Amino acid sequence: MYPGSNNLASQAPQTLDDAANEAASGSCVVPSADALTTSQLFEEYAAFAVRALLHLGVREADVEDVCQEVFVVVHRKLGDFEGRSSVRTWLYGICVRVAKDHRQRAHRRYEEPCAAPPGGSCAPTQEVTLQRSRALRAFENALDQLDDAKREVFVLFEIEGLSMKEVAEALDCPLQTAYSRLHAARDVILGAMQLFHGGAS
Amino acid sequence: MSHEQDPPRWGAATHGLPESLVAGLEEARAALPGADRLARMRSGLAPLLTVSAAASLGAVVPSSTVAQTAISGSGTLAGKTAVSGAAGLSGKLLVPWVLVGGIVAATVGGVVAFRSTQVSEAPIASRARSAVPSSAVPSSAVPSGAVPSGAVPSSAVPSGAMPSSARGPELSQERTPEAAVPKLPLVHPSSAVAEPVHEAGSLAPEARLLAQARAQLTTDPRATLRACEQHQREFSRGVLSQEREVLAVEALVRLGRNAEAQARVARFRAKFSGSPHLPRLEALVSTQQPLKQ
Repeated sequence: MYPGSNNLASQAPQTLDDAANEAASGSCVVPSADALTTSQLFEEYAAFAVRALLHLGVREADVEDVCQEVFVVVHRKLGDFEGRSSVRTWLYGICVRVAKDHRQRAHRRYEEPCAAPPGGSCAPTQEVTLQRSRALRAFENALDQLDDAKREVFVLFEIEGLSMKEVAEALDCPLQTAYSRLHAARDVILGAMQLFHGGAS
Repeated sequence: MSHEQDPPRWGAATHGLPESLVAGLEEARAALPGADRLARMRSGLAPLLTVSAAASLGAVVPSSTVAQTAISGSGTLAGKTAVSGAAGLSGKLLVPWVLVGGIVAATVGGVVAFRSTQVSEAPIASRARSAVPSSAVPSSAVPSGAVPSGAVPSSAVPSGAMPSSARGPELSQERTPEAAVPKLPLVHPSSAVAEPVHEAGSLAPEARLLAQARAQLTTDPRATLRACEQHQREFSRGVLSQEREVLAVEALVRLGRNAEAQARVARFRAKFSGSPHLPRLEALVSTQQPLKQ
């Protein structure tokens, strides 16, 4: 590298450089958890977390609270994150668990004492055509017919775009289990949407 | 074992899918939240986001500023969240973490460690008192936790013009008699207008009253409503008046008194136009079917 460097003195800095480069490239390939802050994760993933939570059955009126809970958990657990899965997968796993907790609490809080939960309906936020917003509602109703386990797999794979391997990691279940849940979920959704079609036409 | 085995995702190209399913899926995938919703959550999480950013900055941030941010976070959020889960975080989750944030910040500085132990052991009321100078900061100013204290509106914070290093002795006197406190006006968290003196120590009774009111919401909304009226009488300028209004509206909706609920939301909108509670309130009164008792 260095012209005329045939003595030991010039080799020492070279190896030090190499060591530094290695360390630097190592930390690029596997980003250490220390390098991540809750703030960065929030900016990168909050929007996806909200979308996932909504499709995991958190109601529109509660989703901000629940998403904040997700990031409180993220903040608390960030130090324990080992980098065995991607941060994204890890975060979706947290979303799934917080949403499940919330549904159980929400069930107690709202559905026992009164007939219809308040604040359940919100106007569509975008100018979607009537037909598309109807389709979305029918799709959401179809999602509601899935049990938790199938719904989680379906939402993470079909809507959030995780690979099945990531889905299995996020849900902490065997890959084969995830596959069979996906197939079962697809059957249920398909059946529900065909019913919707039958009713609509 | 790799995701080469993954079935293709459903979409327009998938054979045999009903059109509405494709449309529904596409809408669901496109349903990302707007910037306003993200901004509301960001300000709700401000103590966590700024503390973690400050901790990672380490020595760059003046330690007294960091510690102060953490303390102000615990002061305002403990108050705001002790009562309602409406738009804030649930208190039991957040408060310990704000406290930990305070401890982390204190260790970063290495100067104010003794103060953080005081804070973490103090009951809510005295914590609120110790946080008086900074709980006067409007909540919208809290997210910028790393800015020097001079950046908050000086009308709201009497000592805001003071360099933060001058605050040490002032804060360390937090155990002095309350006579020292009333000089500092407490401003409603989401309004920048200074309100007349309201003793910060009253946060605990205020919070207790509203917590009781909320506990009865599902079983006896009328009792909730009565408690809200009591709160309005006793704490007409309370820190938690927004939370009280949210509770009252929820109670009215549960009682099927939608017209009154709507009127109350309209008054709320006029008074606290930028409140993070507003979207939820509007969603509450826009529910089509009246709730059955």
